[in-house]
Amino acid sequence: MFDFLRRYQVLVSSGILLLLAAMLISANDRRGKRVDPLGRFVLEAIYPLQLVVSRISGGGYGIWHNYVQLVGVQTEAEALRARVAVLEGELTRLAEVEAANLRLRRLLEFRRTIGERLVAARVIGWDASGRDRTITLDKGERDGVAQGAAVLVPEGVVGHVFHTSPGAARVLLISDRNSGVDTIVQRTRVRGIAEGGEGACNLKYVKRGADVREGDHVVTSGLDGIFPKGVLLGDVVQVNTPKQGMFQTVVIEPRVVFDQLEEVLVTTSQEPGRQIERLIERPVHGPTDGPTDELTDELIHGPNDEPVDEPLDGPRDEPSDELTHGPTDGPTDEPVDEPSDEPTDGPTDEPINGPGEKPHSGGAEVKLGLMFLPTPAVVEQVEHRLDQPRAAKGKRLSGELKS
Amino acid sequence: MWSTFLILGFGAGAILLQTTLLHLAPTGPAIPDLILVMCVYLGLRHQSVGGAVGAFFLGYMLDTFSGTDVGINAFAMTLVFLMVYLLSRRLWIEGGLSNSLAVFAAAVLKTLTITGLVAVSTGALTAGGMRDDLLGGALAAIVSPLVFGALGRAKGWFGVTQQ
Repeated sequence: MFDFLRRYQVLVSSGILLLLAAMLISANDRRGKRVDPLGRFVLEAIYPLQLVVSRISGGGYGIWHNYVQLVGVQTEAEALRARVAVLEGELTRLAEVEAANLRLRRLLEFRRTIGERLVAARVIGWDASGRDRTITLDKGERDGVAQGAAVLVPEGVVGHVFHTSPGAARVLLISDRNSGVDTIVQRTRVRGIAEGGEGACNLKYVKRGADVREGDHVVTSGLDGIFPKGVLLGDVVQVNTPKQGMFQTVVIEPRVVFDQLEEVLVTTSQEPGRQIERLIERPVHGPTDGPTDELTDELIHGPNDEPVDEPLDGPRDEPSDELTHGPTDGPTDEPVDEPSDEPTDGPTDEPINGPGEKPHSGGAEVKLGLMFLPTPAVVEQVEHRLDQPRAAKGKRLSGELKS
Repeated sequence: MWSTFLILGFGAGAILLQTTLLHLAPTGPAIPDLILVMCVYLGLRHQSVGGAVGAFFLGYMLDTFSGTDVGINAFAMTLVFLMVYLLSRRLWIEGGLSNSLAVFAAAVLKTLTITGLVAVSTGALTAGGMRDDLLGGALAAIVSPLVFGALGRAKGWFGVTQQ
């Protein structure tokens, strides 16, 4: 018996333990509640360790989890930062596009009010010296821009083209001291020559008794053959009436902020059809990309090309056509000053002074030649100086200015 | 004596791990059944009454810290010990792979046993528990070489000889 038990002790003990376990299971089933005679002690012995390990593991898990989470957060933050940078760049670009759209729209609306053939151009350069007030446009002879062409923006007069190349044109701003524009005071129709000055323009050759007040609007007279009539130049900010002398000095604040010019309108001298044809042949490459270019292209090529995402609020066909073909109604169909068929040569009878050109025989003469329509006072001064027959004086002046 | 303490200590450690740290492992509800590995170890290395008592007590501890009826795991672990003992008398089970296979086979046996006992006790067969038990057995088979190695080293430290 003992030998059997010793020989099969494992089997016997296992059988007894299995039986004991079965009894436990049976007891739990029969009593309907948990019968665990040793469980209380086991639990009491284990739980402190379990508590410690749980806290340690929980803390460690928390640290690890948070660390991993922080790593993820850092990665996410970097991704978000990059995303924010991209979106900010996009936002800036869209703001630029929106601003360009607004500017171009204003140009289009302004185009309706001007009875001239105009072409939109971008300002691509400024004066190299900083002393003079000139800008460079991206449109030139190929686009119908000729010497003497007026450069306008919705705010008012910018200047006139004094030098051209096939693809670009240089503009003398009205704020340049060599510039002069034949103007009238809108309220009283008093004429004068607006010359450039330091930060403002001076309205010269205004008679002493002329009615000019601060706040008066000064507009172009349209008589100089360059600028269309009625384009705002600026407002009178100061009127100086000297005790002696024939004229009073009037200071004009130009409406145009020249430092912020980006797009301008230039009067052209070509037939619209030829101009558009040349513009289509020549791809437009501006300093900015994106919808602004598309809008500009549309303004040039017309609305029948690839559509853009409605950059303009109003009907685009009309202003686009207007920019390229000229106004379809009113005086545009019959331009007042129809330019010659030789746009690159410029008007031969209309010499234009560049910023570096010296006055030929005095400031009054220069203004006379520049503006083509001298005021009576100027004529008087010229006549007094030259003291020659009128015809000879005119011929001489013309020859000097041509040279 | 040292063998008893060793089994109790490892059993307590296994319970601690199974109830705390191993639940943090990214293995879902399935956790490696270290108690099963120890029972297989006892069946292979401690073929004695003490081994059988140890397996029973390990199963009992598992019952204490689990939701099943008390005695079910004790029964299953004792049965596992017995089957491993009987198997080892006929098959040469030595080395990591055979140990792992033995552990996995023991996991299958334990799962079937518990499922059967629960089914008898409650009148319902739960396949979800089987799946988790089998996954836990598979994980136990994977980690069994480590447990076997740790137990062997501990035995060496405490001078416990194989019975």
